[in-house]
Amino acid sequence: MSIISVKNLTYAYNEGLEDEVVAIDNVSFDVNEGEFIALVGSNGSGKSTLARLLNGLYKPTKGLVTVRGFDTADRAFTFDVRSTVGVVFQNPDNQMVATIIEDDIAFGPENLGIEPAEIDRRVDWALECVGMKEHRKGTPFRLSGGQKQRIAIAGVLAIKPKVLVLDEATAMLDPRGKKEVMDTVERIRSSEDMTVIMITHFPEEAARADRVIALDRGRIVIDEPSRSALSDVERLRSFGLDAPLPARVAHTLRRNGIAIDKDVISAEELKEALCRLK
Amino acid sequence: MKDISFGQVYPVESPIHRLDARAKLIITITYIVTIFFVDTFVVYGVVAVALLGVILLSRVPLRKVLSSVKVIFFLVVFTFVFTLLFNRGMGPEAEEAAYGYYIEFGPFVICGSGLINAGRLACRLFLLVLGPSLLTFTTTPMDLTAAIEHLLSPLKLLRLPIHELAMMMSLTLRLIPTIMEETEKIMNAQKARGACFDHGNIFKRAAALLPVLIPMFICSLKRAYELADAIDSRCYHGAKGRTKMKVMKYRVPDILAYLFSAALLFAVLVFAYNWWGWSWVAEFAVI
Repeated sequence: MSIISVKNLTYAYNEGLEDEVVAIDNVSFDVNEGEFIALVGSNGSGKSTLARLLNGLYKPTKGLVTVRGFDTADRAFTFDVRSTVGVVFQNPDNQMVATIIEDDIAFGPENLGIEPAEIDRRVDWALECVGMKEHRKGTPFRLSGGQKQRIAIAGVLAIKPKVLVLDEATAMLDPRGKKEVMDTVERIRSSEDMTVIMITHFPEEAARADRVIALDRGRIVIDEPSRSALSDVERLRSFGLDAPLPARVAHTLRRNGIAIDKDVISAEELKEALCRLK
Repeated sequence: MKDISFGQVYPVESPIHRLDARAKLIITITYIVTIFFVDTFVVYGVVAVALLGVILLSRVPLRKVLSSVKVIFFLVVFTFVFTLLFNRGMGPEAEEAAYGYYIEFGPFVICGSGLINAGRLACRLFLLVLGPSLLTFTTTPMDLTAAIEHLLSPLKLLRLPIHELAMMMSLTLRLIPTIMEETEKIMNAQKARGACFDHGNIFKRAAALLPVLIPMFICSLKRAYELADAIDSRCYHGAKGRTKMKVMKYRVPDILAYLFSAALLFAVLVFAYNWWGWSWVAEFAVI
């Protein structure tokens, strides 16, 4: 069943002015419940704009975005839309509202008007999910980037959304922080059965998803299962995107006459494929 | 600097730290009012002993609390000296008779009443600073913000945006350390390119700060937009229908604290007005 449906969506900044910029150009796709989608694209391809269209921060210029059947352009449904689609942004420092971690995580549920005791339980649960339970009473200032971003994820989780959108949530983190956040997302996805849309320009992260949607200048150019999307090195390159390193290695080997499987995207698969060679 | 949001809280566990922030705020205000009714050294002594008791109970080192007086030290010295030199008391003869001395030199006078008045004023200033500073040593700005929001909430009936003000205040507290960090980064970037912030006269230094202020301003605006998006995404829609995780609830110690501060105010008022005409109270009024 599709939880988000995007139909003929167009979004233009400064609509009707001379410096109008079309960021999203006639895009359609459906997000099914439980899917893990990676949204990739080079800078300026409209990825972040799309994230903001999915929870009604931006209203479509043309077309329709519905979340659980609610039109995001209709102000009456803003609440339903935003409590269904939670967005984690790039810079963790810019999404924290309180000085104490538990207060920050309680912010979302408080806005929903939930009972204090239940908020308390949700804060506990959300921190448990991201593995930061012992920091509940602490402050975010002394945490590492990865830890801060996990707190930001917990802040969104506490709203209990059905869909988690990560808008380049790992872009500002060091490799260790990236891994921390990715592992956390994957854990939540499997334990809470959540739909995840991950916006990224790291191909290795996209390889963890089931489905890859690639944007190029506001249009969808690829919408396929991640294996076929990410193993086609040439096509990705034509849109200014990199394939994951294992896929590139396999591609180069193939070009040099070594018979290696076509659909290699992870290091593990590359290893197996190489071992199978005689 | 990163801990500015915690103000100057002295991080220990104590009955005073645990008190409800609303109670502490109201008691501090009551205390300030109380001080203004005191006009004799003996009663200042009583108030000082009460305050000392509270300080000991709060487990904030006495020296730390006393050091907050440093800020107003010069103010106290000035008021003391001026009150002493310009107070003519009851006139030369009466002063001479009462205290045995009346020294005049030029426009200045030193007399018994002047000395007593100056002393009382100094006591008042010291005690006035010590009470509120104990409040900031035991209460975080966040708790104070929440307390102010709660105490001012009746004003919502007059359609004053109390919740919004409190939200702004807590966001400010949250962002001060972040913006400071950013300023430091910008300054370092400028220094790396040869900017100089600590040389030249004050005008040159101020001018050197301009290239720091402009990027900082732009960064802060960008940050504000992002923060607004994040807050919107987390279903914020003002105070309507909003609940709070931490419900403020008075407990027995809070009520005891209220009673204690009311008792102190009452005692001071009795000394000041002596409603029942007690003679021992009248004797204290002399000094």
